[in-house]
Amino acid sequence: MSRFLFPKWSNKVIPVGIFFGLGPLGTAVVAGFWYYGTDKHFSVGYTPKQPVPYSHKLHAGDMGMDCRYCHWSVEQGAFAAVPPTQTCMNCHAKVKTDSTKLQALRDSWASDEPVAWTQVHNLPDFVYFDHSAHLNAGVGCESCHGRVDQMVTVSQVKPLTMGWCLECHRDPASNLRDPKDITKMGLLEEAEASGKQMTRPANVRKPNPPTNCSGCHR
Amino acid sequence: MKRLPLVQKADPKGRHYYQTIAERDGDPSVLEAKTREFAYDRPDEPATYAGEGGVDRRTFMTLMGASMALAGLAGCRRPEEKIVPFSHQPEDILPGRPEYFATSMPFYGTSIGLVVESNDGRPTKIEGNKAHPETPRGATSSFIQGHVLNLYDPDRSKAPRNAGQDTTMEQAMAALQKLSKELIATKGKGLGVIVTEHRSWTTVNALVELAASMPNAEIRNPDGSVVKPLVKHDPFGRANPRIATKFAFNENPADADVLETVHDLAKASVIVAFDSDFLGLEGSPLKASAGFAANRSVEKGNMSRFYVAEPCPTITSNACDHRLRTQARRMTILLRALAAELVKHNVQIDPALGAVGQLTDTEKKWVTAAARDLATAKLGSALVLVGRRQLPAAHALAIAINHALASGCVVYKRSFDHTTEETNNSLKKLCDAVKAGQITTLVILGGNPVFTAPADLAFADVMAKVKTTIHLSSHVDETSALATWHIPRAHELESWGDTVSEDGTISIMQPLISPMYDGKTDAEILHRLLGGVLGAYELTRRTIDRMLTPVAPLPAAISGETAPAPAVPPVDLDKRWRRALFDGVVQATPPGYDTIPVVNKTNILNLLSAAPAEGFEVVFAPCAHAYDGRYANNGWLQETPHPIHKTTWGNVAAISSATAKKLGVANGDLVKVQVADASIEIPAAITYGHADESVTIYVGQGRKFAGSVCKGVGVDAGPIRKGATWDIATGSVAKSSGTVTLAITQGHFTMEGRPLIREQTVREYKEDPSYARDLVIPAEAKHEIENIYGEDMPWDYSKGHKWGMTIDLATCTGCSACLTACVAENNISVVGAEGVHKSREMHWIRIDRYFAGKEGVPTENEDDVDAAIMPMLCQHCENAPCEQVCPVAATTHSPEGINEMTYNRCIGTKYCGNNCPFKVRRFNFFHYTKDLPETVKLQLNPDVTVRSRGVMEKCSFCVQRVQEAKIASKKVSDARKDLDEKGREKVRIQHVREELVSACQQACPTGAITFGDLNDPVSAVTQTSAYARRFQMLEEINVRPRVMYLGKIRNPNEELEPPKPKAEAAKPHKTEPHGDSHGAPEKKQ
Repeated sequence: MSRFLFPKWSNKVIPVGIFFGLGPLGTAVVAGFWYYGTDKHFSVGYTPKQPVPYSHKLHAGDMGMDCRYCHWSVEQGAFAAVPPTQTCMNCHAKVKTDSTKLQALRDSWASDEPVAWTQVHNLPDFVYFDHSAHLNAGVGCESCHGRVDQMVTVSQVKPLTMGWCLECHRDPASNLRDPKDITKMGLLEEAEASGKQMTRPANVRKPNPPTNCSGCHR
Repeated sequence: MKRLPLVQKADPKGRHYYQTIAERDGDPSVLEAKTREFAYDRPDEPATYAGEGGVDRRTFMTLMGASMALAGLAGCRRPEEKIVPFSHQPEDILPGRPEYFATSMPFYGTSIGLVVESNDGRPTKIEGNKAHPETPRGATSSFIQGHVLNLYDPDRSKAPRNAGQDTTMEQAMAALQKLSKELIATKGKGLGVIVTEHRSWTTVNALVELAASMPNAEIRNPDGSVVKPLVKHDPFGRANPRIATKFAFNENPADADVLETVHDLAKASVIVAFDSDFLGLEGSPLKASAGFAANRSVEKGNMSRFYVAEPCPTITSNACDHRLRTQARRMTILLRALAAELVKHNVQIDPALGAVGQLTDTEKKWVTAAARDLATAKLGSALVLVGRRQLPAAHALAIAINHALASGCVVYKRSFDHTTEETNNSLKKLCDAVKAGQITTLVILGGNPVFTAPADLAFADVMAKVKTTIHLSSHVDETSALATWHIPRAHELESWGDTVSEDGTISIMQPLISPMYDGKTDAEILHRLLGGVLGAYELTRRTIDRMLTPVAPLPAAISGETAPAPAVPPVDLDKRWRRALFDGVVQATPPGYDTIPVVNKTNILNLLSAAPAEGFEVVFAPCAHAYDGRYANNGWLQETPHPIHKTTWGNVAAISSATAKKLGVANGDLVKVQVADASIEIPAAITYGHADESVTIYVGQGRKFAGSVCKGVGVDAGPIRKGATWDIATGSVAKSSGTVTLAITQGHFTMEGRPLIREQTVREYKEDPSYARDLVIPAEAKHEIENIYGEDMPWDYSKGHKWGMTIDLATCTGCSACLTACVAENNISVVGAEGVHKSREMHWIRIDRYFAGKEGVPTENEDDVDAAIMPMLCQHCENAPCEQVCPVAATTHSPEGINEMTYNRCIGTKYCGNNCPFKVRRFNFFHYTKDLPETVKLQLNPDVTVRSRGVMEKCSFCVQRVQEAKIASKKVSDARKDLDEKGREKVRIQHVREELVSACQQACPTGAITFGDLNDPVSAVTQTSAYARRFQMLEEINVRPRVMYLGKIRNPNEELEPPKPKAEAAKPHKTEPHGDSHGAPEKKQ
């Protein structure tokens, strides 16, 4: 019985296999990371657990509190202030005083130790974002933060990448509204559904957002 | 790319500028070395800088492997960050927005008004208070800028110490209370107090009370006299001018009160300064600089004339018209010769005060010219100044001369503080009393006398003889190490207090942060010695309330708890107090008065009778990096190049080039400086322009205190500084063995000898105002670089903002306040002495110091040179060469004309630095910020990225301030209305004009730097950039800088410097006034 010999064509199996098998696989992995490994997929949907199970849906949505009741510095400063315990206690000194969910809050009030909230929307340290500049130009909360009034726990809905920022900086028209309606939720969705832009008084200054580097990087 | 031809002598006036003598003489090796961007490949030095060497291949692989693995894991998940709001929110705090507080600090023997920026409770940046008379326009100096870093010094003392062991503040205060009880019981027997130049009413009140309630505290001198054991010790104080006023104005100087000499330079049209660094390190330099610059504008037609006689070049003489280099001890002779000359001009001065001494020809000419100018100046506008190191005789003579000239530029104010004696003699009496066993308790409030006191007092031995010594000090320094008790002293930014300026203005010192290490103030310790328990706030409040209460008597002794409530008509003191706190200046009539001087000739003649010393002189000056030693542990100041020598990290002995040749000494060679029986070894710095037979020693370095910054830096000059020859001594200099490598920046990043400085006299300016603008390099050097954006810019500079800056070379003194302010504002790293030696300093501004040969002949006396100063920073070229070579577009142009540097994009190729014709880009060779101590991190400006290793950086035109001003301007109105002819909103333009200042502009004491919007027709920079003497650098290569210079103007006396014949204005060097190169910037806009 003659020995089995691999046919000549089998010499090509390995290189062809590598070329047609591992090659596309590698490309797919790289391409996959390239595309899916970005903030668009990693950061969007980030919903960290907070020390106090505060529901934006209940407060801002159902009860209709204005965003600025808590995030009071948003029109004046670069940062939208996360409220001090004091702000919560304005109501919760009288409301739901025995709720176990609010225990951390009452502890903070009693001990003067702040509540350490987890940051949801986190920009790199070399980006200098200014809330007040955007709000005064008439960019509403929901343009970047989404329908917070429908979120029980806040999650990130936009990628907050530089490319995403620049899309709007190059053509802000679709995100501009009447500065009076700055915290109103749902206007953007309505406008998108109707295919029209949000209403905005004619005398309001048209912003000229920077697209050069030092606009955000200093 | 083809190198441009080296143009060395394009200035047709024949003035030749150079930074080093080798450069002047065309030494080929120096010229070759300049073509290299960095000197890091110098073969002659070992690689010992932290971070270099020491990592072998294996360690490298281990580290890299581990960090790759970690990076791989960490990259998958975002870091979780916390937002921590307040629990109970204080009022008026807006997260991320800085707050500003007015406060003050004592310095230069006066009070400096401050406005301090606080970010989330951390003081981060000091500016001057515009409302304060000592800081016009909010100017500051390098030291004041650096003072905020002292607050965060990681080596500050963190706890009291008893006999060398750390203890607690409770124990220290208990011990103080026990001591106080003993002292009260014995009515202060054996007590002695040494204070610094504290300038505080509260401290004075406490001392007055101490003197009254402890009558047994006294020194009985061997000659039978009895004095209070209260001494002020300031190593660079104003004792000499103060004592001179006693003699000049009184029959009996012994009983007379001290007066403060207050100068007003803004009124002076002829200034003659004798060994006085009044624009630099003495007097009230910020006020003086502003006043000086106000009278130095060729556009306003009020150029003053300014004479200086001094041994060593200073910031002051950088700005002068006629500098006489001569020994410091010759000043009295010169002053008497000046007085004698003035008599000839019918000035009503007593002829007995004048004396024609033995003058050299140069001196004679200088004195004659100065006398004529003084005598013929507009009435009241002539001023003679004498430096603090001159003996009282010279000051008294200057008082007599100013009086005879009816100078309106000087007033004499009654001093507020008569509690302490401040001469070395009084300190000696105290030390003698210790040796005689009269003093058993010595309280030292601030200062560091073991390091700074005269060497012949042997203060360390004196300390050992006292039973109990208490030292209040910010650091466990040389004095604290020997004291029984050391108590941490609160920094000025963390204490309550008050300060009084030389003219009597009272300012409040308010804390911006609670004491980091529970420090105490001078007044608190004195108050506790008197048995009180009040804190610094209550004490200050009590002093200031007295000032603010209309009918209350002037603060005299305020007795402890029994202070009676002042019976006054109802005044809302709280409201007035809050107003004073907000303003930073107390609106109250300052105690003290202007005197009407009556000069006492006899006393002055008695003072003058002492024979002047002869021989080689040794002159002492404060170190520009450390002052008297208090800033020695400050990295910013150690690295700020000395305005004259450009040395960093250390002190030197400055000698003239002629003396150096005589001694056979080269730069950096160690020399032995001997005064009587003591000597030190210190590196020599050859200083062109220094007087011969004279050496200037900078004091304040060589601390024995082992701070993390000052350890091993410099040489302690203390051993040769003795009480009797405190400021000027007779000694000798000899070459010693050994050489030190000076970390010197002169010659770093130079620009190949191109004619960059442009200078004219007033006469030349009148004949040809646009000389500086029109002077362009010969045609063969002309070269047009292509615009990276093509001929059509993608944006239109005539719209929106257009940022630009002008720097007036006529008023720039080279003081380097801008440089330190830039470091503080922009989080610029300190690289250390070795880093500086390798040209790795990170400063975004460098102050180029050029020498100007008088006639431009290389063989002339090397010491007969003038100075020319040019601050050099990123020129923000519209046609920037750096932008064209960046492979990753990390440096780009903004539509408003800022050449921006985007750190997060930079990959560190350094191409941009190589292609920059101005050499203003700085590369982070190491991660300098990685190992910053935690406390120092608190100082960082949150509005500016903290750079990491491997990125380029450079001047950003303070883009963070630009953005802030722009954003704020949009909030002043949200709608477009009230437009100007260019279609811009007036209210926004005005807001930016008023609010936007760059850090360097804000700090500049002479206002030489102007920054703003060139498209705003009313802005200051638009006005200054329209001056005829405006010029731009390297116009011939068409880079179109946005930083513009105003040509240097001098106002020489034509008696001393005859005008050059007009024919020399060599035409060939001048291109057509509106040729391509010059017209280009305007054409494109």
